[in-house]
Amino acid sequence: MGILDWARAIAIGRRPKRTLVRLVPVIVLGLITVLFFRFVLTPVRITGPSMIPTFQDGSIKFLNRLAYLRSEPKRGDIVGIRYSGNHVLLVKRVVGLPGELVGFQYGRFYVNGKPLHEPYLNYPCAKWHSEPKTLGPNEYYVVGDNRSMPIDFHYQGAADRRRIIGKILLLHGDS
Amino acid sequence: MKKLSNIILLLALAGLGYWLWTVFFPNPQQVIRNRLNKLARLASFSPGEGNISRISKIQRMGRLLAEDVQVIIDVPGTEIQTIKSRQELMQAAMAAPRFANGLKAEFLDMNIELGSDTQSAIVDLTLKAKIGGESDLIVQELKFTMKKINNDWLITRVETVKTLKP
Repeated sequence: MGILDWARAIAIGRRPKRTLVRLVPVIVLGLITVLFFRFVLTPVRITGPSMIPTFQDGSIKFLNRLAYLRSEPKRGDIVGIRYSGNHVLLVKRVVGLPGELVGFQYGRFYVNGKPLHEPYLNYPCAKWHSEPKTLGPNEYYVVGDNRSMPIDFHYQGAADRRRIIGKILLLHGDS
Repeated sequence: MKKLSNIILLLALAGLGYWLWTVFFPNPQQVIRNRLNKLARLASFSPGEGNISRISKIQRMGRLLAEDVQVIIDVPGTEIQTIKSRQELMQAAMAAPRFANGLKAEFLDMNIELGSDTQSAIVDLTLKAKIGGESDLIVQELKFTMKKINNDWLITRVETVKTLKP
């Protein structure tokens, strides 16, 4: 038996038909797994302190990309917001909905003149202040849960609906 | 069996021909993509990089830029900064190692929109950069305007995009 025969026996076995029958389910399962994690439940690695204490820097979360196919983002949802594509995402919490008058006053977020109850905040910063603005018909106001830094150092603002590509799944242990 | 071998050979040759065609006659999108990837490579530098290597990279970078290239940086927490010429931009790139201990930049998710005359293009992309010694990544959406000048795609304008509106 030559080397080629050995290689053939290792690669496809002595009974190629049986090998094929065994391989097909493995290939199909692999394909389904890849498609599932690419288009349905995308793994996301959190980088940076913006969502502390809800999500720690370096933790892995899953983005449900089908969450907003039939419904719109709700207040309190933690969403993935795309830049020019899907390779890098912003992960923020939705606090303002389209058409609402929103803004920060003395560290609290106000919606239509009323303070928003935000039990998930551990480190609110009393100095956060912004001019009230009315969100457009397709705009959602998003901000991270860690507000211990000055407002200028925390990336937050109105996200266009087209940029919101999914909802982060909250698992046991997340706030 | 021989017929099957011939068909496979023919398909392989067709594939090779197509690949060679794209190598020798790339479409404008591919040319732009390659140029921007090259820009990211040339803008990157390692902590111990020597001056000669740096000067060479910046000169090659200059060949990707129009003489009157404009760069407008408008990010939260800082004042708007503008650069108004290739010379100014190259000087800023040359000075960068004094302020950062290495830089690794890459451009992701390029969306290229060619003008109707195919002599200009707008590229929306995401800059992902890591500064040596810092744990946080820099992520910024950018808009590049490019023009075909003397048969060469040159960058004429770079501006930051506000992914979230303040």
